[in-house]
Amino acid sequence: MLEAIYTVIALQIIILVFVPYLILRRWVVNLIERYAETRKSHFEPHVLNLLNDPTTTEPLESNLRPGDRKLIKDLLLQQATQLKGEDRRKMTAVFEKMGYVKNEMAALRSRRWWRRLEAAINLGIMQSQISVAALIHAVKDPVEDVRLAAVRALGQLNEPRGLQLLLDTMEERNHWTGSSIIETLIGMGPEINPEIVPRLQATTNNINARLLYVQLCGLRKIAEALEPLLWLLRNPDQETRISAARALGQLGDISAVKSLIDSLDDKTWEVRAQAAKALGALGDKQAVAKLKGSLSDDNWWVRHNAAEALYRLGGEGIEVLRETSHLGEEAPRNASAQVLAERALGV
Amino acid sequence: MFSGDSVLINIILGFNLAVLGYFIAINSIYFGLLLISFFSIHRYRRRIQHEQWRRIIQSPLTRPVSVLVPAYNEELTIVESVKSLLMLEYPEFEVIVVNDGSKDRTLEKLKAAFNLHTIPADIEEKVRCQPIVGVYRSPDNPSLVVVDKINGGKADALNAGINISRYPLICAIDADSLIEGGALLRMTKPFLERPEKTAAVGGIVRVANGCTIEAGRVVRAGLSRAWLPLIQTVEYLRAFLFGRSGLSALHSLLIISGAFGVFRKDIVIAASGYRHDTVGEDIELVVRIHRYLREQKREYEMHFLPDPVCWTEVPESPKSLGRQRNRWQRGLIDTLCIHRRMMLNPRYGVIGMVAFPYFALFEMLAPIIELSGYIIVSLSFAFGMVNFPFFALFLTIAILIGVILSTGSVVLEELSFRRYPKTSDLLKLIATGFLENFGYRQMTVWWRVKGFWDYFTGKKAWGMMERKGFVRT
Repeated sequence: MLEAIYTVIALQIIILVFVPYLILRRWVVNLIERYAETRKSHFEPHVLNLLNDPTTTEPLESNLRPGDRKLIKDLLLQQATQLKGEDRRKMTAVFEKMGYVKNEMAALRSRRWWRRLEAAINLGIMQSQISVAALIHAVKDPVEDVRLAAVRALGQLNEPRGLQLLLDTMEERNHWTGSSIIETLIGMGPEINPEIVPRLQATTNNINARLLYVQLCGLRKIAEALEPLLWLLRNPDQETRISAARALGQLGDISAVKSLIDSLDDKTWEVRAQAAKALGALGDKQAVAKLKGSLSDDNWWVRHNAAEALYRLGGEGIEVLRETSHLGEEAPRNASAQVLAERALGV
Repeated sequence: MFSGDSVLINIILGFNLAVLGYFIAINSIYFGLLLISFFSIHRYRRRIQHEQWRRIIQSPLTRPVSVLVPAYNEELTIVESVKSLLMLEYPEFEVIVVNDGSKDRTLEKLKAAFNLHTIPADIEEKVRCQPIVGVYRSPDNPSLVVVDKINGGKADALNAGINISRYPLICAIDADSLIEGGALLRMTKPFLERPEKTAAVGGIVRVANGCTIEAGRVVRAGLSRAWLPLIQTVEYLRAFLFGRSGLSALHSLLIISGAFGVFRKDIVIAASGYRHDTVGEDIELVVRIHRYLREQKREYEMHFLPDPVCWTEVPESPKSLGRQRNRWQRGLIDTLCIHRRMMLNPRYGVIGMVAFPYFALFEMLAPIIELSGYIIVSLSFAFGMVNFPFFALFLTIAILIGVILSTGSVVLEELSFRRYPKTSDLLKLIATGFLENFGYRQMTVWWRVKGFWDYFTGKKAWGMMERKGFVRT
């Protein structure tokens, strides 16, 4: 009985602590937010002024109150994300001059993972070359989010040392997701292209890495990858053939048309569907006759992509769709009629 | 005392002890889930705090989504819902509204509002559904597709949507729900980060009654003045913020709400789509996907994310609410019965060994045990086996624990998302967490027990909810 009474008292105390805590917390948080807004509006004109003269950091460094440096950093970061080219480089100089880059590099060694994460993201925005070594080190961080942020930051820095590391990491099987690295690599400059094609050709035993390189070649439209991709279109692995067909469509080189036409007879429907889509993207009328045949394919995706491709080829292709939409079997008739009706509506 | 009486007394005593044990176990689990949720939501908040959503919008790897909206007699809300969906911030998506043979003017309203034109269509039946009688597209809204089909129920309508969809991810939502602008972007983040592993993601469902809604968007969260929606607001916070967050952290998520979930289409098709013969098609699909992927020995993940928000209109009348809870209960029983071989089966890993027993014992059987508790305690009184002070203390403890759990979810809300701007709203939510113990809780127990009865007597109907429509708010 006594235990039960104690339990009731304990539970009541918990509730009595919870409720005032909630109210007090909200009041304090609102107060802090209002104060931060006031201070931000005070610093905003000075931050904008930095674009005209990056050396005028003095108003942002003197007479600061506690918490002001973080507010200024947030304002600068916000500003930097909206800038490109010369203006962006000016902001990098400001970050370095005001010591924010060094602070964030130090934060990459913080015991709190979320601080390391924030530091890696911020360094990506700050784009300072002096942070490369620290970010390369962060790619081995025990927390995946920090690693990914470091990878992205290296990508934003467009740094050759970072590139080698990114490609090596991407090739590691079962390490961590390749798609985040791909996403980073897509944003890097054209100077990385010569690194990628030889690596694609060297991935004979690592299918995962090969698929990632094929995807990368397509998304980056690397012209030098044409021959290796045509060769991979005949690879025994169906995933490789699917990716190669997709990448060839993205590359936009009409030398691939003949091989892609052959792929419309592939035994795997995903390859046929991707080949049809790629032929539509390449826009070469040689493909019309074969695509017409694909309108009768057993698979819906092949029929649909073939109809879409024929429409994209224009003239003869549209004529084929018009003919098919009135005659013959139900499936090709409907596929053709659907694409024609959708395009007529502009959808 | 007769020997018969002593047997009865022993049974009652034994049952009282069993109820006490159950009470301790269920509340320990709830407190455990609350604690896990605190850490898991804290971690999630930290992860997305600095996320650059523009990066996801611009990424060529972001996968397009087909949003499926099954609609049956939704003339009051459908136009507003579709307008809201068409405004979603997402790089590539289509909204597929499936008019499931509505008897009202749902289709006519859509035709008039969106300038719909009928088009011929090549449709492949990837999953089974009733015949589609028309497909409509809108020149004004290229991402809108409206499908008109013979009535077959919600699951059937979703299957029709899957058959017509063109994108690799599908997002199933209710026609009476409003999705926040950036919610889809947040929901698909796991699919971008782990495309091979992520099978499904569920978002949080919040109560829209009482909120300020403009042009299909919740512009200010608020609380309803009516009692039932207010209590449901606390219930939803509890169920999602600590229930599903905690279960997701334990890899034991069995429910992704039918009102808002994103799935990989190829996996849904491989698992045969939504099942027609159950009223709990959302939970059944999730369990079947678990089962399929475990049997295939594939590595996969399912997540609950606490910040992509779907606002939904909840029932305001006891009759509608009773029907809804009855249906949820029948759906749960049905799913657990259909997949009973997963129960305590190590082949299904944590799903078979943890999630299934938890859902069977502490979700499915909870109303039966609670009702039995009420009856036996009354009998105990009748036999003079329980003294009043002890009974009153036990009841007080039960209520206080309920209040702490509700307050805990309000604290979680305040520490993380702070959707309710007024301090008075917080106090109202806490007070509601206290008051729901008197009357409302007993009513839900009754509806759920009735769900048991209806299930075992073969009732399969869905039951309708009266809609008022969002526009009025």
